[in-house]
Amino acid sequence: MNAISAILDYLATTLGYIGSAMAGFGEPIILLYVVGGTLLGMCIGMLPGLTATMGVALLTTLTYRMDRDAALMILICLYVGAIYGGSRSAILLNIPGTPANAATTLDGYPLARMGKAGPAMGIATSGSFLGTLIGMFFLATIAPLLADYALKFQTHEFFWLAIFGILISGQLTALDDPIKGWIAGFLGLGVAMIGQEGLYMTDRFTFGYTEMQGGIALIPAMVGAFGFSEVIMVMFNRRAEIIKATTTLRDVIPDPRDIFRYRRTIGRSGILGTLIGVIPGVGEDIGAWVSYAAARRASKEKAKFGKGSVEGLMAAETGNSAAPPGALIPVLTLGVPGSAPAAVLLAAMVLHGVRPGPMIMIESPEFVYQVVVMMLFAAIAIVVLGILLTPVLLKVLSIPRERLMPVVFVLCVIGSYAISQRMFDVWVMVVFGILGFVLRRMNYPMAPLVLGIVLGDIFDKSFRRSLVITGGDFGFYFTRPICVVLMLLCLGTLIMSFGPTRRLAMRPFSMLGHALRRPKGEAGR
Amino acid sequence: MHAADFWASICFFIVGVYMAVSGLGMPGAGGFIEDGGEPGRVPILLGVVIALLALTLLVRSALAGGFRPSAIRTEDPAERAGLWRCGVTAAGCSVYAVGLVGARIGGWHVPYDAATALFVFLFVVIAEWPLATEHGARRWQRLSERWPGIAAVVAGIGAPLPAAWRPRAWLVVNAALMAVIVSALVTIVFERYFFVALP
Repeated sequence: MNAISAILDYLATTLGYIGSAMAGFGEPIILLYVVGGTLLGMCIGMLPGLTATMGVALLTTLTYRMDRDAALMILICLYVGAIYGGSRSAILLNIPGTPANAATTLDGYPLARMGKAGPAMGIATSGSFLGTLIGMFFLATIAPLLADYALKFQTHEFFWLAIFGILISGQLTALDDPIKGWIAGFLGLGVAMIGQEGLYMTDRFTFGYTEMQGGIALIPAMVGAFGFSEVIMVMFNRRAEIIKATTTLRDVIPDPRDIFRYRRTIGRSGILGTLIGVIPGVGEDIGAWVSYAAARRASKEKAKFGKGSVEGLMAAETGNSAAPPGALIPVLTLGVPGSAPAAVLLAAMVLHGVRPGPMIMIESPEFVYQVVVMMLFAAIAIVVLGILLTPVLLKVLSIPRERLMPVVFVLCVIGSYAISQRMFDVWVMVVFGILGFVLRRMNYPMAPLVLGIVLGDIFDKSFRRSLVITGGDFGFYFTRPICVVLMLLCLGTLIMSFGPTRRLAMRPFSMLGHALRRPKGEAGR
Repeated sequence: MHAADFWASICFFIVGVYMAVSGLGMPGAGGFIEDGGEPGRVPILLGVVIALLALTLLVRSALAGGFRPSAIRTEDPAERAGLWRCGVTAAGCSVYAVGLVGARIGGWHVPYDAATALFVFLFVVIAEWPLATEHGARRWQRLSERWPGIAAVVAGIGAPLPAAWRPRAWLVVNAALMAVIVSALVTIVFERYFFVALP
């Protein structure tokens, strides 16, 4: 009975916070921000070359003078809108608008070629909406519990968490070559070492240059790595042909029968997308791929996958849209981003005076639920705008890149400059843009690099503080319970990254499986 | 890719070694720096890890033949053209961001709006120049269909020009118009609304 009343209490508190957050956001101006942010996000997502991370980074620089709730509402709506908007170009151009929509092309484009572009957009809309709702549910229920648990994290645990984040992010975002992912991640940590360190104010890698003492600011670095590098990248690619889509309202309205028929796929993809979102530095694209692969494995219509499967499209879109709320769970509770756009959101939250991390449920519990409500508003907005404005939004796809890219770059420059009003940040943006382009051309993922820059400070201070506290004793890193779990996760990630070690580690399990599958008679012989 | 991996891994190895060596040169324990809190500790750790990972990549790419000079060249004309476009874009953008914005040329401070307008104009003209005829024809058709009055005026202005020059003249006018609008909008929004002292 006590457990039931505790759960009921918890639910009542949660609903109370959500209710007051919704009431707080009831002003017409906020609703205007929701529409504006989501619409802008959808346009950014639709345009190949403009990503959610770039959009959030650029808009952070444009909203930093607004009040906290309005600015974060716009940024979250843009984030959700961009991930959804990318499905349009994936379906109509066979080019994912954002990396998160790569799995969408597999079935979305074949559907469009069959003359079902409208219904495909409807399926993407329903998948994105439901994915966001599922992720939002977990954000509302898990984040507060995780924040309580995160209070047990101390310096030793944060050290292992940073290492685990880099390893898992490097492994999952560079599946073919985890070494490149790890190099990117550790380089990110290295970049964070630039400037005065936080314990004794000693200069590191500043080359005697005063501007570098403050370190590399995250926003200009992100604007460069995701904005400027995209501008260069887009100019590399040739143009794609747009499939002429049927754009009547009736075509793009989601069919409830599809939702009912694939309810299990939606549920599974939503949960998987959220879980992938929670893993540090991994994000929406992997969420979509994992959901797509799981849907294919469990499907009764496997043969249709890759040839215009409604289930495949639904899984990919549900998976990628569930990841943004998932990615915000570690942001709010640990101060560790679950994806690249979430890393910029983390920086934006800090810019607006929020202190994400284990103390969030003590210092400002209402903020977590405000974020939940922002997600809800964004989810509703993508459905309404996605259906009503389809014909208008499709015109965005015809904007020539030669016209768009100079405008984007002008915003990259002024956006980097505006926050601190110093030219050094513009130079940082340029350097990171060129570096980001070169690294991406060589298949180095950007997410671990960003995660490294974000985690660098925590990693450095945690490692050294813990050694100061324990008098240089490394033993605590291997004996504290949470440390042991995180260390084993790191070890598991390393083992599973390479074929021979993976096979060796899996051998006992496969032998056990064979033994269990052997017929009884054979076992007795 | 093996060649790129080979040369990149050498760069990363140098970065790793540099970080570790620099870390060793940072102040050690003693005075106000406590034992275990030395500022160089983490750079040494990161430098060693980056160098080891780079070494692994170096060996792997070298075994795959990445060290051969022939592995660097690309024969695909589309890729070469793409890389050329990327190079021009990166160079042009860098010149605008580092050399034009906030710069002083011969003691004269380049105004932000002028620098931005010049950048947008040149970017659009250079990027669209090879496509001017194709784009011009499409835009002209659209203009004639939607606003026949304006199209007639434009046709009158462009009449003295040879037919082959018209699409390019159309592009230049378009780019100039766009450059002025973008520059003015960005300047007004950031200066008036965000109170940014423009560079």
